[in-house]
Amino acid sequence: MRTMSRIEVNYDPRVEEALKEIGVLLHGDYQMTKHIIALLLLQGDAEILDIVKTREADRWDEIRDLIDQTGALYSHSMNYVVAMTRRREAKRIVREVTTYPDEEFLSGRERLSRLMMNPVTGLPILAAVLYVMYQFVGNFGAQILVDYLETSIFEARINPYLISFFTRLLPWPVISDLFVGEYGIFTLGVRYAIALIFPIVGTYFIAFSIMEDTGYLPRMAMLIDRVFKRIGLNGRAVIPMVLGFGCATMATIVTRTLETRRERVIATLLLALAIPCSAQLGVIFAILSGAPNGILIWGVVVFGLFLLVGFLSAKLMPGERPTFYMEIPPLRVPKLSNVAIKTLTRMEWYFREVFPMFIIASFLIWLGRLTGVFDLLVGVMAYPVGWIGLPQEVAVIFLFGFFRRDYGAAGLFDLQQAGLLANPQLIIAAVTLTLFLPCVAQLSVTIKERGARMAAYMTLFIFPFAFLVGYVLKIAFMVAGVSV
Amino acid sequence: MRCALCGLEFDERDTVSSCEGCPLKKGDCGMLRCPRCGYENPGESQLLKTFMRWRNRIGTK
Repeated sequence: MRTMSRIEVNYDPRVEEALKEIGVLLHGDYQMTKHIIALLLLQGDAEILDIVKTREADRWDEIRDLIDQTGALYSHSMNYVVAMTRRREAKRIVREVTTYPDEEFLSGRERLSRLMMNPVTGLPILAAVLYVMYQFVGNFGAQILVDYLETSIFEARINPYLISFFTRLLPWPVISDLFVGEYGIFTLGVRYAIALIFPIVGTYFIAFSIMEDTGYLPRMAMLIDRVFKRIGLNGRAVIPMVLGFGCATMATIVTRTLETRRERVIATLLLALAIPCSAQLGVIFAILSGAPNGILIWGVVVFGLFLLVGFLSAKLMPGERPTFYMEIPPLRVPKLSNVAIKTLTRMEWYFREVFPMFIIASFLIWLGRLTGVFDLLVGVMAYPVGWIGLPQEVAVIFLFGFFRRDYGAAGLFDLQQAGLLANPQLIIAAVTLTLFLPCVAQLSVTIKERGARMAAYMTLFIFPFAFLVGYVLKIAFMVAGVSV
Repeated sequence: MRCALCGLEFDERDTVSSCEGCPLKKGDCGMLRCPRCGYENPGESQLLKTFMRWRNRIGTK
């Protein structure tokens, strides 16, 4: 019969010293070794802290001081320090007891999985995945479905009926404009939500759910982590960034899980600046669906700025780079039922959120026009919009974009459909709108999470920076001989 | 359920606390946030749930 041998984990000498000193101060009976109790105290285990505080009341202040002093020696939490030591020990044991065949056997899936996470092969795979997504959303969602809903349903049937109904019911243009005017609740808010956003975001959610169900997302996170490390960014920031592609507002809340304030600030800034949310990304795919080179320029500029701003911020944030580890589930063929349920849930959530907001936006615009505030704001926005070579109509889009990112993108899509913008202008507008201020919801979360002053600094940086990039793009197009 | 991003197995009840601070959803969005990485996993569709309830009711009559 084999007996289990006890494994001694050797922690850092500073931790071992603290464990000994705390152990000496523990007089009570805990039915566990003093070493384990001391280790749990250092890791801040709430239950053990309570028990020890009661049983060692006379010595508690001394124990508390030792816990605090040891914690202050490390830039990471004691949980992380202990976990890393155990991980090293586990790897050592595995090395000692495991033998590997000369040639490692890899299944097809495992081979593909590794290719997805290797930067050399993973980045082209990521580009291919995004290209397929772009084709699906941009062509099927934005061309076929939008064309049918907008032209055959809204323009041919719903709008004429509603315009005639409200004009007869409310013969005062000031009031009927609220419902069926240029920015009316039905002619703008409902039409944007159903005829533009619904098919684009719907197809995007289908593509995203397929990607999620295959197990590609954790591999993408690992790939991005490797790219991040090469430019000096911390791997932990990967998760909020990946989440930002769903909803940047939610991702900003998740930045609170990052350990240092600097990391939280950098992640929040990058989310506000260069990460488009799912709806905005879907609509940008749609806007640039006729210009594959356009989506490439957009991707290179936005991703390049993301890396540049991240790199510069990381330079201002010296510190250790912790190991990023994540469980990688096996790759699998997506299940149709899973994809359908995930898409349906996301669509429900999105509609519940977007529909009232679009209606409120239409109402606020109507009120703004009535009071003259809207025209004043559009007039102010027209200056920077003009500097980057865009017509005055786009100024309204930026105001929409601040209310909701996708609302602005939908407005841009509307202008593209109307043929008001040439391809270079669409690219400039898409890049500037992506970088432009986060939406109201994200800004409110930023104020809540990072404070009003930091949110103000970020806004003061992002607003001119977005237009500066738009201006540089305009100049680049002109230098290349493309008229803007 | 299992988080689609970090692979953590978690109980749906553990996700409630993550909804605090959310300005949009207030816990009724149908998304289940992983307590470890914060990823939003789509939960059960409310529409589908209502449809199934309605179908079961019709079936029992």
